[in-house]
Amino acid sequence: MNVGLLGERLDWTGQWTPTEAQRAVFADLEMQPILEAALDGQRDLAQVVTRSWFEPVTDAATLVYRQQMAAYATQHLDYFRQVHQLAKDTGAEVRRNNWLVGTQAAAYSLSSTCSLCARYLKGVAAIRALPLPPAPWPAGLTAFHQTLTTQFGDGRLAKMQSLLADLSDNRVYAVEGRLSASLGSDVGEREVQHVHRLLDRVSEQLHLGKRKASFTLSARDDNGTKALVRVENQASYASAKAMMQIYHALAHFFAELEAETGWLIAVGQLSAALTGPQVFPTAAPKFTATGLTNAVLQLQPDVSTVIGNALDLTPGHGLIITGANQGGKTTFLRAVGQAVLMGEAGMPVCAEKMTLPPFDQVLTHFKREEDAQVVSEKLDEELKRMRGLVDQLTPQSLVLMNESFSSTNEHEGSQINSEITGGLLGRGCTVVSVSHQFEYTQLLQQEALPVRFLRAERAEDGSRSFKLMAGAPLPTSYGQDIFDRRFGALRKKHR
Amino acid sequence: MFKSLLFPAAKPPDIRVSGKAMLTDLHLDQVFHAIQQLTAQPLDEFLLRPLTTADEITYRQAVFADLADSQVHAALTAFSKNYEPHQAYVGRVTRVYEDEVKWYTLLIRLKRNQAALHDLATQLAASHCQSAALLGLQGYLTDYFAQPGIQKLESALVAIQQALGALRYRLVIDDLHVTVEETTGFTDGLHESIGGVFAPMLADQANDDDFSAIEPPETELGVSNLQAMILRALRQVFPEAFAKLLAFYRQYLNAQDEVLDTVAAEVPFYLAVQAFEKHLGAAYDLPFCLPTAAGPGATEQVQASFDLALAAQRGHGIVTNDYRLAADEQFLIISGPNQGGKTTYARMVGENYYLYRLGIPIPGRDAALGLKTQLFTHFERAESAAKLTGLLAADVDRIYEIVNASDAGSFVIMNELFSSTTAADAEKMGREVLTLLAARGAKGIYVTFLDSLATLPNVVPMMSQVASGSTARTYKVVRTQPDGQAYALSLLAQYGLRSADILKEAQP
Repeated sequence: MNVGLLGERLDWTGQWTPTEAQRAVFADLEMQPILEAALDGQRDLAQVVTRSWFEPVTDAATLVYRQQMAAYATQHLDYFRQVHQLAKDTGAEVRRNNWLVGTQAAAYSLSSTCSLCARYLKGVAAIRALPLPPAPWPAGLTAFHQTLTTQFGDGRLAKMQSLLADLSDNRVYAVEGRLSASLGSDVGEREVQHVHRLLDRVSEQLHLGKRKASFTLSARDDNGTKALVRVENQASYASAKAMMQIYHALAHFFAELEAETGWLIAVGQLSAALTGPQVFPTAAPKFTATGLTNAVLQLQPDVSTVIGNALDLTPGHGLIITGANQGGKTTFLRAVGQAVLMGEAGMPVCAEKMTLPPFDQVLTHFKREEDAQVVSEKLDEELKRMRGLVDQLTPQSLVLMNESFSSTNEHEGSQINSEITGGLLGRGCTVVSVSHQFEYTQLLQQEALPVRFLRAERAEDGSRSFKLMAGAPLPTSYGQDIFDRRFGALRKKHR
Repeated sequence: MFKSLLFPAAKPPDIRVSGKAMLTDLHLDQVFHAIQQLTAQPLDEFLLRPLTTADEITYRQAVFADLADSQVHAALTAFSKNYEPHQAYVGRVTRVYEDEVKWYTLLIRLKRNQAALHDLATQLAASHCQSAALLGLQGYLTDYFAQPGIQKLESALVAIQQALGALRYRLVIDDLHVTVEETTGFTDGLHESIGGVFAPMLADQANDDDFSAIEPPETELGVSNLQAMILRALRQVFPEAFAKLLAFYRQYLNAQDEVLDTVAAEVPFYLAVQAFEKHLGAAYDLPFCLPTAAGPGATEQVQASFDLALAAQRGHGIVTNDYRLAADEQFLIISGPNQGGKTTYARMVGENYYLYRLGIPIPGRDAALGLKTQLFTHFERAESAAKLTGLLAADVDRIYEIVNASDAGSFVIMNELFSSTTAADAEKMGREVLTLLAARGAKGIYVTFLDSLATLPNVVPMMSQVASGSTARTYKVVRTQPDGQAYALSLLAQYGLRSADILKEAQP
């Protein structure tokens, strides 16, 4: 049973945990504040939002399908909030009453799944009773209602409910028997006319005149009563399996519905929280943007103007960003990564315009400040991390590197960095790399690798515009003046 | 006339070799325990009774050779699983309290036994078995099925089985009250109703759904009270069919074939031994082979052999070693670093001689072994907490008994003999023992830290090896003159404590 709101055969149920690399991407790109804004306090939506960032939609048609659904839901959030609430409440109530822990005997499983399915069907009825949101509908909403009709329309829902009600009282039953090789009775399925006790009495009379013999097991006959339980289990097994299948289908449907509507709600909330321009990216061969900003900055109400940057990057090429410290390089790098994660999930991104090629994953290799290790260990750690990324590399990867291999001296770091960047590009990956290493950029140019350079701009007076301009790197960085500003006064005092 | 799969002679030899201590020293008790784990049939009777003639050994070896054929293996495995000897079931059947169950139990048992015998005959006939034992069994089965009594039994089985299998009845279960009634037809079950009402959902759901949360209904093992009561009720509903069953029971309860029952008790020996060795061979790439008999004057040898007990216990990283003892050689003197595989090597050789006498495949390749009528071991005992003098005395007592009992057919394995005394004394005593044993024509292995014993006539010095330039043991034991100090030197080098190192450090 397909929910269909966000794409065909989507499956966001089940346990999902980010990989180590994905956790690094989440932290490096500062996704936490963006996630918080999307959740707006609903912690239970965190998984589905995060997951959508790491399960990119690389197919153009599916992306449009999801974008249209997201745009529509943002306009009619109330309906989706109601469906989400019903799906969530139903799921929660089933979980509270679900004693299907570990494995159970067939007869018990049959009666348990019957009552759980009855609860789900009640949820279905409530969802079908909601007033529908206005047309025209996006394809996703149409697909969802199609599923509801196919499964539960034409009076099927009522028939299902009545069969489950019958089964809730199933103490007396009859089965066909024949002698088995193991001395027992091979028993068939439960006879359905014995479901009702009233009917049972009728059929009892119908069978009058046949040869029969009866006995009653003693309640204290443990061995015999256990065997009787086994007979019931044998007679119930096929039905229990079918009901288990139905239970799984309903459970999956409700979990998926809860997840997909939850995601729509989160997107609507995030969209409302972002202040700057937003746009749904268009699938295209090149990665381009104008007015691209970092979403985290857009979430801060006190920041009046956030500088937007342009981007023009061909997949398989490299973009090397150099220039002034605190010139907005890392902020820009994060904005690129955020836009890919959000845009490929079907969310709007913080830009005026954007085209997006199908990257199948984003990998980040950011300088880690936290632990004060000795230099050689830090370099080891960096190389080990890079090794981990290379292990999971695909040609459609976007690799974002921030001050990589700066834990050693510039010469050695540059050699390593250019060696690795060249390798990544050789594999067909797209690389955006922020670096202070002048020698690194020189080496890349010598190798004639397909890279372009951006430079953090700096005015004559030393002030920063946070605008990145195309331009070859300059041999000196500007860390000195930041240092000077901080240390200037102190230095003078000591003079 | 065929009588047994394990012994060619009409009557199995009744000698039972003592020597629990020897089995323990060689860790064969562990091996046998592991083999016994693979079958419910007690095997001690066979494992603790080594054969005494080359013919007996060949008789079994040929069966093991046949077992390599998967068809033969499948035939014997199925037989062992499906056939139950008379003495195993007769008590169980007669002890059943309810008549109907008792009769029915016998019927089912005999039906399965006959089916198992037919399967065995068919499968053996289709295989290429060549051993005298299995060919004998095949011939025996042919004669067996031709007996008029057996043919009558089989047609009776079919007739009654059919009559009972044709009974159709309905069980109506209301709590603990059960009604058994005759029935002619049956309506659709609940399962069909569910399938109808939920059709779209079931069609949509993947078929490989996970049903692991539902326990598959248990099939009945043994007979429950319920089954007994259903059978009793059935006897009331269908009295004619049950009268025939009773007649069958009375006629066949005591029918028995002793030879086939003997075979059933012997097959597990072959299967368990083969399963045990096959597992080790496949899992750890270890070879097994059937030794040929080395006559007098021939060199005895096994290539790429190993300690079976160690392999069973550890599995991975087993190092194989070659064994060779020429006709004019009497003792292998094994020295070398401790923990280097000396004892393991000695154990390996002892195991091989014993296992050869069981007629089973031994660890290694290209084996030719003599039939040692006596196998003696003298290993350091666990009771070393005793006083030194007491220990030495016990050592001397034991070796004296061994020397005294040994002859030209004996193989003696001595492990660190007299370790509780001084080196000079131990050497003197060791020489004495070796000379005495040699004089009696015995052969064997002497594991020792005393290099000087290697200078005796008719002995072969061997050493456990250390990888060159390190202290790592290779667990290889090879023929070489003892070098006395290679290991110590490499250990010193590792710590920079060789005299040359110390001299160098002393210089400015």
